[in-house]
Amino acid sequence: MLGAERDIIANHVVPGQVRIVFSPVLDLGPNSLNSAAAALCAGEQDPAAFWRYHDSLFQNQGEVYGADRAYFVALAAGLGLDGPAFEACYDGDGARTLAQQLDAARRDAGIVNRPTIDINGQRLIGAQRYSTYAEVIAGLLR
Amino acid sequence: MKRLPVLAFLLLLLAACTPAMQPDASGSAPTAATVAATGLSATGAATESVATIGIATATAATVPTGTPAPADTSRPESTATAAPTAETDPTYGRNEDGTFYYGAVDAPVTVTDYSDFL
Repeated sequence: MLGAERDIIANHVVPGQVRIVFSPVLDLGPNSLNSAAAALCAGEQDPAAFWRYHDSLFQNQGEVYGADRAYFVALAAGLGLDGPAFEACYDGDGARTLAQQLDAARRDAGIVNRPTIDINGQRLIGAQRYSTYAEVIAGLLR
Repeated sequence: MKRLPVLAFLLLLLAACTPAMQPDASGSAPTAATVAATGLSATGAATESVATIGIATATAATVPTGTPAPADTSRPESTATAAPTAETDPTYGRNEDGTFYYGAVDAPVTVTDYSDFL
């Protein structure tokens, strides 16, 4: 959703109409979990940092697929996060367990496609144009 | 012959009384020719400054920020503890289930993105 996310933020989040949430899907191997855990660890330090880390991961998806621990640590450092705290979190079980719990919860909810965008219970499968999200949002605001 | 000293005196007197180059009584700005020659112009200088600022601003907005490429900083900044205003400042926060959100806590619509980072 990253492509439409900026429009959603500008047109709906900033005016107070929408709150966006990210819930990880762990479908593509070890680095699905590693990247989700890394982003959650960034958020442990600052909720805003979760979203900066989230944006960086999506902007560099080609690199993330084959990334190693050093990549995720360097990304955190580049965002100005506390390095030792991030590494302790990344190497620990907390964030990984949470990511796996969230992944299990979405499966239990019947969400099997990625991305799936849930807008107040209405689910859109796959990346959509911003106009599609805007239409759904507008319908909910009436 | 007697008239010669007198004539010389008169000439000297005439030279002394010739007015020197005086500034324009109105005190107006240098002529256009002068401005062009020196490149000085209050208006021109101001325009240049504005243009420079604009360029600097544009440049700053496009300066790359390092490797790995950091997050796009166009996302409005806010704090998790800031209360929404009447205009609703978006906030960053965390839900009870551990997921992170961005937006007004009481926003009528929640958009949840279920995605893999890969």
